[in-house]
Amino acid sequence: MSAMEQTAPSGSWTHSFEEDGSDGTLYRPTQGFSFPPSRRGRETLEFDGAGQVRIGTPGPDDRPRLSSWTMTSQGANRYRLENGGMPAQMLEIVESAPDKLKVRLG
Amino acid sequence: MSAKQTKGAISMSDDCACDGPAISSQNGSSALDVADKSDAMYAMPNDGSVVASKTEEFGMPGLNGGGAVDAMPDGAMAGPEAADGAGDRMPGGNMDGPAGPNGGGSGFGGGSGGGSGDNNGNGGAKTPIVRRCATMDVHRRLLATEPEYARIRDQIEIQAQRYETGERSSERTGITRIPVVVHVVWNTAAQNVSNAQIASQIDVLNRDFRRTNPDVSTTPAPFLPLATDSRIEFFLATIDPHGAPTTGIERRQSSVAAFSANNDGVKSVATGGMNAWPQEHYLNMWVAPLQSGLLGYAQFPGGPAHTDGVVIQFSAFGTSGTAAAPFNLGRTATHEVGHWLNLNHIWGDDGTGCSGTDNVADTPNQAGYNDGAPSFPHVSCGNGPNGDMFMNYMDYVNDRAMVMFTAGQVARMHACLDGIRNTIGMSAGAIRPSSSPVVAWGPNRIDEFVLGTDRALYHKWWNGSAWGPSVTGYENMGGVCTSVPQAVSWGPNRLDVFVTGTDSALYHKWWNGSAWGPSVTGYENMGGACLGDPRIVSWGPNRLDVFVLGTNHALYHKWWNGSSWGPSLTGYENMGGVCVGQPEIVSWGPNRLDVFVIGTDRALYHKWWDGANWGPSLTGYERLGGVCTSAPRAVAWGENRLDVFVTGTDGALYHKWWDGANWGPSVTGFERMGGVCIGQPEAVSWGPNRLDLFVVGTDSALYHKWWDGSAWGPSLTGYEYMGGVCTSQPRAIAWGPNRLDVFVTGTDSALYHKWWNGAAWGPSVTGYEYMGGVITAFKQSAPAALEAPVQPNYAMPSTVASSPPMLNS
Repeated sequence: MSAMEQTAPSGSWTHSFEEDGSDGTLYRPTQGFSFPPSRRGRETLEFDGAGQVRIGTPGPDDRPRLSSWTMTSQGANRYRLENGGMPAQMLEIVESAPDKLKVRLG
Repeated sequence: MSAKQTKGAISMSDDCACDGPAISSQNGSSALDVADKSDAMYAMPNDGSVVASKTEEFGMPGLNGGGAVDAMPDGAMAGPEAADGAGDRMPGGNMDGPAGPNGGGSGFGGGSGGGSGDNNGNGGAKTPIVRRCATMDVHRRLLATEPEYARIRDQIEIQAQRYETGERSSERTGITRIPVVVHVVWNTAAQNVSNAQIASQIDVLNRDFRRTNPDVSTTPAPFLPLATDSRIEFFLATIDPHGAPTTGIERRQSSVAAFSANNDGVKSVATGGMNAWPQEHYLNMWVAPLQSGLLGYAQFPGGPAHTDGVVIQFSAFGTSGTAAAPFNLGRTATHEVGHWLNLNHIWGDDGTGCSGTDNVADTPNQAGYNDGAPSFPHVSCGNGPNGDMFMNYMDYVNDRAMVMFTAGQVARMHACLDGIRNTIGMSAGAIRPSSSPVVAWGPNRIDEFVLGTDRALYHKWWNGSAWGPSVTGYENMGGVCTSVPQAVSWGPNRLDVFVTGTDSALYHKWWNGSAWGPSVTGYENMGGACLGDPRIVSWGPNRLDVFVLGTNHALYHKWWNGSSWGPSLTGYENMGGVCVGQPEIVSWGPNRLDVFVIGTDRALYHKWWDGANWGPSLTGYERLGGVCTSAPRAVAWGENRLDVFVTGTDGALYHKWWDGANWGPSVTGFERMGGVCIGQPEAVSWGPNRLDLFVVGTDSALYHKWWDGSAWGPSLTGYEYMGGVCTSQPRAIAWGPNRLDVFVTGTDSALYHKWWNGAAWGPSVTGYEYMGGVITAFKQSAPAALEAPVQPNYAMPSTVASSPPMLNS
């Protein structure tokens, strides 16, 4: 865990919920990581590198539901996510590495 | 077909060219041709001795209406006595002894079994709060930003609630059969799942949705009574969207290593996948490598048509090949098809809360999803002592741990089938024709059965590219038969053939896809003493209903339920009546039968099986009027639709129809269709609202007329002249949309064939393909003629219900 301000995340990440800990939810690169089979869908975070993130969440028919959010840095690796139709939420980058991204979202 | 027609004295000759001179055997061949001698074992006796004078015999006398009577008088009902026999055996009793056939090379085999049966398992990680909140938020936003989608979903839910509360119930009786197209999109060769693996998936769906999955027995006792048969089955489509034959499977290699569920790329050719087939007629099922280990996903009804269907990870598909534990029992598709039929996750998609609902009353309230293989009970949300219904297909457990749908879930699925998916499973292919000597078990497949001069059964077939065993050759199937063979198919590559033997008992043989049972020349003895030809219909896979007339002219019934014969192998259910013509049976839907017979007053009578009861009663009949001179011929081109054809005392063809609510033109009235017909008419339907009729005229030529959905062609009372000198009634079959194959025998007793390919008649409008043989039974057998029974006191029971359902207007 680093308290240092990290660069804004980029790329596509998929929830590796089997590796979740109490300090956040763990994402792995969508491409290149071997996820075990799962009936439950996995959340995705797709950062465009320009202040937007698209969040995918498993829907009630197992089909992902996608929503786009605008990221506004709040400092200390925290971002405010805003979407026109839904309540704002906070994204905190707990840990970032090329092969993992640990976040708190809510 | 709603047009009411005033009756008029118009003969067949009014509208057709009747002076066509001669039949033209195809390719210049004629009755002089003989069976393929190089294939002697298949040649029918006397094939080589046939000499017919084609030129003379094919001369056609002019067809002139023979003083047509202008009305089909209503017949008065004869005496009222019912002929209810006691017990379930036919008069003539137990005829289980050897059939004693003579000659023919092979006698009937002894009884041996029925047709081949169709044989064929903790609460872990919990959903992060972020997921469930976002999920519901996104779902709400979708509904808010897409008002049309929201409106459709609202309607679907309103409909579902009506079914859930019992305010409404399923409109579909019996089994709904849904055609499936499997789009296999593969990147590596190993992902190109085999046809056998696909078949294993269809089998799983059929077991799970029909509650015939053996592991349903593992359902905990408190939940077992809730495990319910959905009455939904699935089959690989046999007709593609363009009307062409198909295996129901299409394949593509893609450069996409793994598809993302985020963009539905697998559902479009442009993005490396394959396009959906029309969702109103097919269940689209994509099998492909999916990103991130996702097993599958669906789309609720009401979404975009081009992405409608389910997507299954190649390693979680079926039960063989690439299927890998613990998702190797085909349950991913069961779960996703549940969504496709509007089922929600059993925990209500509210994360781990207790406020969500699956909109089904008979599933317990449940916190979050279960995975793995939980131990019973798993209590949440105060749902003890039985806890979560984690063994439900709509939870997230491993394949081996999900085993059931509930009655409430079934009601919800049927709300969907009666509502937004009301066209699915209703195609013409879902209607099975009743038995005939000619049958098609799939597109571009024909099997026909005839009797030779030795009265043995002979068989030939069209496999899509050639006639077997040869164009003019026949496969000898033994026996000494006394009825026209009657064949029916309850599924692809399945045939059941029935004949009567010299002891008048019913005999049965079957093709199970790889071999004839009980043997090529052997037969299963089914007892009875039958008069005339048996008639058989199959309203669903592995289901047969057989009807015969007993020596007392009463109707008798027996059935194959998939595992045994009812009421017994050699027993029959007495259905009363005194019938003077052969019975006609048709099924317009699963678990639905309509029976038509002619009574001693020569009126048409009707009875029906509605899935639960016989109407108007087990031994009663609804009188439909008329004075008929032929056995009835009935066809169903759609659900709750019947068209019945008979000839009247003037030889003209008469028609009546059931439109789902009423008989047309009236309960006892008939629409006169002109002509002077010899023998029984033939009727066939190649699609919804389509009928094709074939009759033989007084010149023995074949005549044709058709209903195109809006009008009769060439006219209401006119007929298309199709040449020939026919010595049998025509036998027609449609193995696909806009396809007809017609068979008759000629004066040389050989079989002749012509066909409609969607654009033209082959070999020509009036020409025929010579198919060899010397056929002794292709028309109705002698007892089938409208001979009055010897017992004059027997009459069609006057048991027309006082207000039978079908009399409502």
